[in-house]
Amino acid sequence: MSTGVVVADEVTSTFNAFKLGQGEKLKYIIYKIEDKKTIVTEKTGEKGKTYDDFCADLPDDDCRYGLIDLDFTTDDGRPTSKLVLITWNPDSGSIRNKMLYSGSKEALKTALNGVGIHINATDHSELDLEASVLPICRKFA
Amino acid sequence: MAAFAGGDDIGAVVAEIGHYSTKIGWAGDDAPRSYFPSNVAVLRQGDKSRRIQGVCHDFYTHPIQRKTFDDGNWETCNPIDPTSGLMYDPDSTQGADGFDLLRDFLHHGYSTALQQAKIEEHPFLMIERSYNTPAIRQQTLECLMEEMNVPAAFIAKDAVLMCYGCGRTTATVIDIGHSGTTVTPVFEGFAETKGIRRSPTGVHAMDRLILERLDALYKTKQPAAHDGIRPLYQVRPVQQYVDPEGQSLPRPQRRPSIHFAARMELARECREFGAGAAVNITDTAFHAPSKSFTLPDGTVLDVPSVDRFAAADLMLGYSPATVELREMHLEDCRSNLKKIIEKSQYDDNDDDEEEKSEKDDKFSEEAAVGLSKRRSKQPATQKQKQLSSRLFSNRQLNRACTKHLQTLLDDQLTASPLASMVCDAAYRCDREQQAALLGNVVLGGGGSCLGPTEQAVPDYLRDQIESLIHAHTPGWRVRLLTPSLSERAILSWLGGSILGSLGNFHEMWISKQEYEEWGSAIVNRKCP
Repeated sequence: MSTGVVVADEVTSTFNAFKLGQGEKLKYIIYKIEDKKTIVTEKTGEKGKTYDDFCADLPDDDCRYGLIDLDFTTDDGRPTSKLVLITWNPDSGSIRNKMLYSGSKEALKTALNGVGIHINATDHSELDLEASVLPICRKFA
Repeated sequence: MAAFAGGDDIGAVVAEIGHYSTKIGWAGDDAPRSYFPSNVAVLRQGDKSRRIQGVCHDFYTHPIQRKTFDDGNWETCNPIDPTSGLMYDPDSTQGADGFDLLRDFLHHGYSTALQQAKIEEHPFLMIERSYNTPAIRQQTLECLMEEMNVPAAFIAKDAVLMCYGCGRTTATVIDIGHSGTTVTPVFEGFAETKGIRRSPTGVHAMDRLILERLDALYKTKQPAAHDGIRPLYQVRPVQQYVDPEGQSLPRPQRRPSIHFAARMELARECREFGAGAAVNITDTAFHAPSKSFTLPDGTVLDVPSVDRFAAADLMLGYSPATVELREMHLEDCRSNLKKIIEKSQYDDNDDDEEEKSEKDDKFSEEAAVGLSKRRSKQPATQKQKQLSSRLFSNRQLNRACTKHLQTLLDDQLTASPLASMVCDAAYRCDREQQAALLGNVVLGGGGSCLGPTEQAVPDYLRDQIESLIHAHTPGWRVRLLTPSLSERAILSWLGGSILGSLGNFHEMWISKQEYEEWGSAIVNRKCP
């Protein structure tokens, strides 16, 4: 069941550039829902930033979507990099926001087609690279 | 398409009619403005006709007929049938109690709490059970659109809303309701019907247990009392019952159903006062203090800890006595359900000729997909005349629901304790979904508001589920999500309130024009 929230056009164009590696070299993009109506880009991180910078950019009491290009080694030892969509839904946020972001995830997923790995994080422990995020990535890689 | 500018301009109304309480309020609010019990006293038209003539919402504390105190003809009525948990009345072939009461409840809610609001002006979001049948959904939409004249409507599933209320799109949702407990796996915003588990052990069963214990305790204090504890209306001071001339009137005589309902109210108060869940019932039972509970007639009962925790143990526990009790409830529920199914099939054989002439079965599969040629009903003038004496034909509804009720009987009814129900529900879904489903468990519903602390029941439940799962898959984590105690009972309404206030939700409503064009079957396409 969707909530009727739409994805802004600039999100799709920035995503395409991100996917193909053109334009500005980005490591991650953070999206938010504006006016309860549209999903827009809130901030981006350049190539030099790390995963910890990405986590620091997520607010503690509000929800966001994050698209990050993650580098890791698969189970058989190949280094690879995959696009991961992380839905950041902290328990300390308001129910309204949590619901809005959960319900609108589908719309964003269709706009960002080609992203195979989706992660739901509700607190910083679930964002931990080694413990939670990488095992899921390795399963899907 | 819907002709509304946006959810914020014209407020939508969210309503949920449950077995215990009805909640009606504005979308966007944090709590429903109108919250009243669903169990009402009704006066029927006579012995032959079961049409409802009068409804009284508050019958516990005051006499219903203020002037004459003649309450003998009133009995309790509930729009939701307790066995199936749906707005479905298997008995009446002339009119459906549920839909008559729906009308009355909405008027009551609108007039008492949503001042100056007219039903015709606001879009209406209705919350339904996750196992609701398509036929009842269609009937509800029909009632809303034609009788209540709402401009736009939407019917949402309570399990999905509870899930969204906790910020997830995938979770196993536990709803500890009055008529029973339902466990629904919700995956990516859609309720997986194959995994729905339903147990008749709900708040009602807990209250019955408490009532029995209270009666037993009462007898030890007042050996002369044969009926057990006496509800409020029986102990009011005699001075109240005096008519204008000064003649004293007899105490109101009430039917057994009202008497029972009033006693259950006392049991409910007791439960909210002191019941709780103990992690290990045999040990803690000896250490926890007993609480004293004051009855309306002044007697003070010391409820020992064993009884206090017995209510929660009914839901969660594994001891043989509890299992037996649950099986008993299950058998009751099963036999009731079988009777309902038989009745609906009996009606079917009875009127074969009449039904065959009805070419377009509005509840058929074709209608649901939109292939049937059936369009909406009579022209407006005829409708006005019929409105006052409208009778729903229940036979078609019964027939259409039989299949779903049979599934309920065979597949979904269970007597297992709560943790097993959750694992069961998840294991019935696809393998890939199971990890996500078990990783997020949402707890909601009135019965989950058990003490003693806010996290007592969730933690206990979480440990139980984890120990069950780790027998198969040691790696999976279980997270139990639940809001604070004050929000747990209305979690589904909150989800509905948020959904109804979202800016772009107005595209999802079923507007009056769409209903006129496609008929009531559109609800099965537009409301997932």
